[in-house]
Amino acid sequence: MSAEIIALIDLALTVVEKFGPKIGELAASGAITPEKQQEIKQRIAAIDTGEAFNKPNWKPDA
Amino acid sequence: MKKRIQLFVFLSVLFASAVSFTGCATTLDPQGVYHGDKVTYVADEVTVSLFEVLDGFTEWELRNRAVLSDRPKVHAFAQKIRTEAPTWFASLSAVKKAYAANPTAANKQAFEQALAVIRAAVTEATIYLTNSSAAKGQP
Repeated sequence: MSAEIIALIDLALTVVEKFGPKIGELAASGAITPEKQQEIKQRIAAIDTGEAFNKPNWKPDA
Repeated sequence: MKKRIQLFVFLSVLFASAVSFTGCATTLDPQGVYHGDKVTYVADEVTVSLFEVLDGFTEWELRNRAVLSDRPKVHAFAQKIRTEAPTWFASLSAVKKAYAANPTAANKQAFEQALAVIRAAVTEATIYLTNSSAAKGQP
């Protein structure tokens, strides 16, 4: 399997990982639950504090 | 690869549309931490979604850097995002809080401008991906 194909599979998995659960949530009917609200609040807090950027993919080249 | 990238773009657009739809059609459980404040919730969810697109892009670029070595613009743009996005999101957070506290037209405009910067980066990321694929002449 070529490196390019591996990259393609990786991209597809990234798409599924990032968007799949959210599209499913959006398809569900009813009010947005307190748990979901709490999750968004926590993720915003991680972005605001910079914690969300403290991962290898966010480190610029030296 | 182009088809996969088109899928990524398509899902990004689909998700952005779905978020907009959520903002119009659903309600918040008032027991939640947003206490029924749908405007703030939608603003936060859009922020998280935009972050996730850029997070996914930088993650993908890092994991596949060797394969993408013949597409230096992809790496350069990923580096730009890594360097500047934290500031973009900090600015967005600041103007969002200002608008929540004082919902004037000026604060709304500042919020929309900060959001536009990040949206432009998301769009540019997908353009770089598409162009780098097209340049190689892949189906």
